Amino acid sequence: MEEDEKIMVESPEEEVGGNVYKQVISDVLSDLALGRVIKKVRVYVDVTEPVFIFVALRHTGLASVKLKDFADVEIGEYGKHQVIINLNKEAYIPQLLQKLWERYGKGNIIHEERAVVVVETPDYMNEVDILSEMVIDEKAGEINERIVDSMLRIIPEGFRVRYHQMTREYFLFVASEDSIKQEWKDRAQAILDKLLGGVGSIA
Amino acid sequence: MMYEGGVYKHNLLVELVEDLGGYILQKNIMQTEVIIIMLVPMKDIHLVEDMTKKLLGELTRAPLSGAEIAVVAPTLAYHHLPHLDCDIAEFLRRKGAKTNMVGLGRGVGSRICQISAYERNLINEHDLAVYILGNFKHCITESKPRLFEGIEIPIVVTGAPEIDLDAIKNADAYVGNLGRQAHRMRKGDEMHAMDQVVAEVGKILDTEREDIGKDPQSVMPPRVKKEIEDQVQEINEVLSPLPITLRLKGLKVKLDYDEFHDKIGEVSFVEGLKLKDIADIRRSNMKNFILVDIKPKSESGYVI
Repeated sequence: MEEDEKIMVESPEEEVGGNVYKQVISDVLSDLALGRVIKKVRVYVDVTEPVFIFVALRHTGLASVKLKDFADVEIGEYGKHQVIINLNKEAYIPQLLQKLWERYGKGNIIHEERAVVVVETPDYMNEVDILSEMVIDEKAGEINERIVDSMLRIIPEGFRVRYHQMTREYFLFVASEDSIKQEWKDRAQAILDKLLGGVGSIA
Repeated sequence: MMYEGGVYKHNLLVELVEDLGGYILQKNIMQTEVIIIMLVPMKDIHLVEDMTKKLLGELTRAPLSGAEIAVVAPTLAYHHLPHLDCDIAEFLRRKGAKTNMVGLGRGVGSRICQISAYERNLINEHDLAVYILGNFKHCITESKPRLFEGIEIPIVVTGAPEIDLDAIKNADAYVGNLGRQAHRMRKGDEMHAMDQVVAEVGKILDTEREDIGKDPQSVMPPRVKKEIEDQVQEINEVLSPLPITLRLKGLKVKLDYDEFHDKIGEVSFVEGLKLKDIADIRRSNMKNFILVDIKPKSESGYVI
């Protein structure tokens, strides 16, 4: 049963504190809409040390959005050095314009019609392919930012010395007021190994 | 007492209270609603009740009226604010208190938490401090009492675990079941815990009032408030909420100290006394406001 629980907080001699902390974690994760990103959370807090260890497994496989996913990209009329982007969805316009301005300069982007963006570039034959493969919205990057934000909200504020690992599969934070001890890192690693092993066996 | 009702004809109530010799402590008009906190002589309460009924308002007892309370959070970051602190402050305000939220600069952590002299003086200007602490017993009993050092006013502490009051050095009351929360207090037990905070605060203020009663103040703070409003015109132009805030032992006047403290001292009473004869007027740590500490009878020799 214990293994199946989504959030578990272990805190020696501080049962009440641990339970309230569980509530804090679930509040913060739901505030930042991370509930579906995170598979499992294991926390170990010992205020006498003091140390706060947070280990979580995450779901993988969030594709990033490319320009060709929401627009048709083609070369402009004969004789004009242009690439024309016909948008099917308006949702990503801000990110798209930002990326185009960075690459070609504001003067070379013509956005007169709502759903059409014209890019002026001499190398339009190559650029048309580069543009259609361009990553406009990186879901993973944005989620990573949210995860870091949630960590900073969850960890007790005074614990300003931090050690962290972050991969596509899991993230691990160790925080304290004092310099991080090797035994805390080992404990975090042990929690992580147990978690990875446990999930592996179910799958 | 606290009156809640419509704005329409609420002046009748204000006039009635003044005629009875009571005082209006605070009047908040919010669109079409008005909340009035007032002092009414015990024997005339039925008249006010009748008027309230006529105006279709609601009258409740406000046991914390006339007190200024500091709600202290270890910092102003989102770890401690806003939910719990604001909810507790709201509960205290609903019972008539004036609350100020104090976020400490370096109140975080267990070994590293500290409080500065300025923060200490600022908190000491209040009648009572409510410290909102976190989830761990060790933290509340071992580390955080450092934040209570030098605080001369009563301290109420809140946190998550159940702890004996004796275990927390320098605290006057402890209320459990609160702790650090990242959501609004809505559930039954949370509301109950906050009611308990209010009850503890009320108890402490009652004993404080009893102590004051043993050596009465030279003049009641609400009377000074009224005289200042009548004699210092500038107070009517102050935009701060509650330009004159009542404290148990005096008042806070939200005017610049350097410019106005002489004028406040010159406020006179029909008995022929001036405010500076029966009160200490000093500088507040809060925005250079004026603090008036009314002397007890044993010191001034008068009661008016």
